[in-house]
Amino acid sequence: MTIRRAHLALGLFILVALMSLTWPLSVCFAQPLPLILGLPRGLFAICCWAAATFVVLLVYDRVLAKSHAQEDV
Amino acid sequence: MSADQQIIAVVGGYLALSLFVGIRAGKGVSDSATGFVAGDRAMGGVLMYFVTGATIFSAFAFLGAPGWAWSRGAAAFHILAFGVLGFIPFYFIGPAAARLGRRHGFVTQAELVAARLHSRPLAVVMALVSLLAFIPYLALQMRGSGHVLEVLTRGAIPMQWGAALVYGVVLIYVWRSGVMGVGWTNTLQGLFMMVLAWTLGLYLPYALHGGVGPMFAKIAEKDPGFLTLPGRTADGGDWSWSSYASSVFVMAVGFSFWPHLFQKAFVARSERVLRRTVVLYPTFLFFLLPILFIGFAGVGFDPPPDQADQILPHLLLHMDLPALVVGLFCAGALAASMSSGDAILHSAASIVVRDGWIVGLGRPLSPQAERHWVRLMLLPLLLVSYLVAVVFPVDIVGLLSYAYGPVGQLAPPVLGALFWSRATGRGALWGLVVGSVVTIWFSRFPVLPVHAGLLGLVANVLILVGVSLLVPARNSGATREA
Repeated sequence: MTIRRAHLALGLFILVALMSLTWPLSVCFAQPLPLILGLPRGLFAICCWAAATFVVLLVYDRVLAKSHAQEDV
Repeated sequence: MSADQQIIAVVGGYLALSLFVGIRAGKGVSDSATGFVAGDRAMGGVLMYFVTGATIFSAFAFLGAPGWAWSRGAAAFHILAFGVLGFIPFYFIGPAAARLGRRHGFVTQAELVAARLHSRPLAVVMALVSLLAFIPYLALQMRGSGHVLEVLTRGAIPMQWGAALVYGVVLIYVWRSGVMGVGWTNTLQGLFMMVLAWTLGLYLPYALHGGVGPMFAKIAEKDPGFLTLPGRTADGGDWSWSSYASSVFVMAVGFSFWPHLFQKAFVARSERVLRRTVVLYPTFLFFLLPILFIGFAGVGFDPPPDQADQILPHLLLHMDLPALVVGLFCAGALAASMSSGDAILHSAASIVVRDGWIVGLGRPLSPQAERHWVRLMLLPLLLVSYLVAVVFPVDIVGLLSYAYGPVGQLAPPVLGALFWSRATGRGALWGLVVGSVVTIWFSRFPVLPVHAGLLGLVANVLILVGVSLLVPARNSGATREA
């Protein structure tokens, strides 16, 4: 398996993992109270999820760019 | 100067600025179809960020999302959830499509898929699915902009005139500058929307409830279930977990495959720019957060609006705000409408010429002639959408709900064409047709508590895989050179 294919597989895994969070996120943060930072728990959780997705993608992108550069060399 | 005149002056200033930016954007672009449709494949990171963000957040974001929050409570959070995930597939398909686009000159989604799978009928069907979704979508943007102008000027600008004025401006800058006009105006509109959304999203909860925290505390005390996921249905019942999760899934899967968004893969300067756009995309979702605050601020407001998606203009009209603030909101709503409408109009015209005429009918055109015809096609498409929006009493939202489903069905043929070497044109074509029919059927006659698009996707994938493996392709000797 080439590095590119390995990263594609890893990326798809991350995508599936992020998608599968939809359900538990909805269930775990269903309780309306207490409110966190003034936001309902569900909304707060989705905001954290958005921030975490951004960070995961950023790290993944950095790693991918580095190994592509190595592979090209 | 009267209040109406002040509002009209603010809106006029905004439209003049959009026109100026849109016309200037076309300078330095080649006079070929690639220049007009794909900006000579040279768009940078900042433009890509705003093009993809502002294109997706249409009049729905400014009017529909607060309406969901006001009427369905926590159900509105699913808009953020699918937005967070929706662009991730583009991280993989975008660079792959861009590479093929550069090598073979592709500028549309259907053209790429049809060439990879050696199927002209597939290009025509994909183009038809795209247009069936685009025309009601464009009509909805037009009606939204005309309606906002009519309501907030208290009838001084009738809906028909407002829609014609706004989309006259769009026509001029798209005609003059093509995709670069779309890109630079979307950057202006995106920035404007962000500033306005945060201003109104913090101001309205403060003015009506004393702040964002006190607003949610008040709602939670009065009706705790309203802020509990997965929220309510349109008629006030409880939305099911399966409907919530499958809606997020289907919307997230279909997101990257909207043809006008997918086309941006052919526009970016490099694969690096495309990947960075996807990485940064979840940050654009924070723009939607204050939009939801606006909807929640209207909970308990007396008198309530007649329709949920009127909550924002309704609040502004009944709160006795300065005309300048109302005018700025009006311009923000127009920005939301225009930033989606221009991209759709531009994409629809290129799809008709490239996928319908050149690929579907096999009639090649010179680059200059192609650009000329794409420009000419802007006129009938805009006219048809305008007629649907303001002349014929069609239920656009109802029409759109049927048109939306099949767009998500474009995902399997695109993924098959890019990543599965055994996919065939027949398999993709029949999968798309059956998936679209299943989606429309179960939207009309629901049997399971899941999004109809999910059932369509299952049927689509099964047919694509089954037909590709079992039925030999007509041109089985052909290779995937494209």
